Amino acid sequence: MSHGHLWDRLAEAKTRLDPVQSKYRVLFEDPNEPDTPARVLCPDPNWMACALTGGVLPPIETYQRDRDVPDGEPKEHPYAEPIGPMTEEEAIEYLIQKDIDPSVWRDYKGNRTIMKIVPVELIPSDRSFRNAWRIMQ
Amino acid sequence: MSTLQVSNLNDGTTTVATTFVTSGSAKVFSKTSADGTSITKSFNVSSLVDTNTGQQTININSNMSDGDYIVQVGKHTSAANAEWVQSTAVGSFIMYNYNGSSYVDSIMFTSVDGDLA
Repeated sequence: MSHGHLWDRLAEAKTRLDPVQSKYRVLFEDPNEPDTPARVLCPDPNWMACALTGGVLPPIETYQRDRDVPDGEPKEHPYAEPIGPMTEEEAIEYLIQKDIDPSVWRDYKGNRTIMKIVPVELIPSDRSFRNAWRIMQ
Repeated sequence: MSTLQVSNLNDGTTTVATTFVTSGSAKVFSKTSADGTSITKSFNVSSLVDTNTGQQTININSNMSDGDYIVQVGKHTSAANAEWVQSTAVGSFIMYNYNGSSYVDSIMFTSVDGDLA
């Protein structure tokens, strides 16, 4: 049986899966833009539900290969066979590889810690100096 | 769940391909919190990045075919006077909210139309 297009699977999954709010956030700094503040990545609740349930999301390698495919050309990830369920920790690792530039999580060789997975409670709620946020070393 | 498979739809006078309907659906939508650290409602979004004050990045789950897609963006405040989208890539775009002198946090809404990869 065909597994169809990823977008169709997401639409079907949204009708039957309850959103899951992750207890994690990913703090990261962009080494290519050292003057910009730390960023905070928040997983989408519908995406997290798909990741934990399985049978919806494609292998992460398909997204990585599609980065080298020119715009407008056919991509691999929408039609790839879906993978099985992940733990929340595995889902966060998948999301880092999908949504954060490899220059942050793979290629950076400096001494600073530029990425951290943290519980959501550790993200400051006071945003007075948001444009000066850095990851504590 | 049963599936109805039809190639065309006809209202008695006009016939359109089913793809006319599916292609006209929003490919991505989102409503995000003002501080950019949570997603209230969404479809086809994998994550939200709080990039800076008044700047949020939406990462798309099932990518668009190219960067030439349409993003409608809105905000949940009358205080700020400009919101826009920039850096539309196949898998992400950045939303900005500016009040004339600085970027400001606001609840943001988006809807994306265009072609999927």
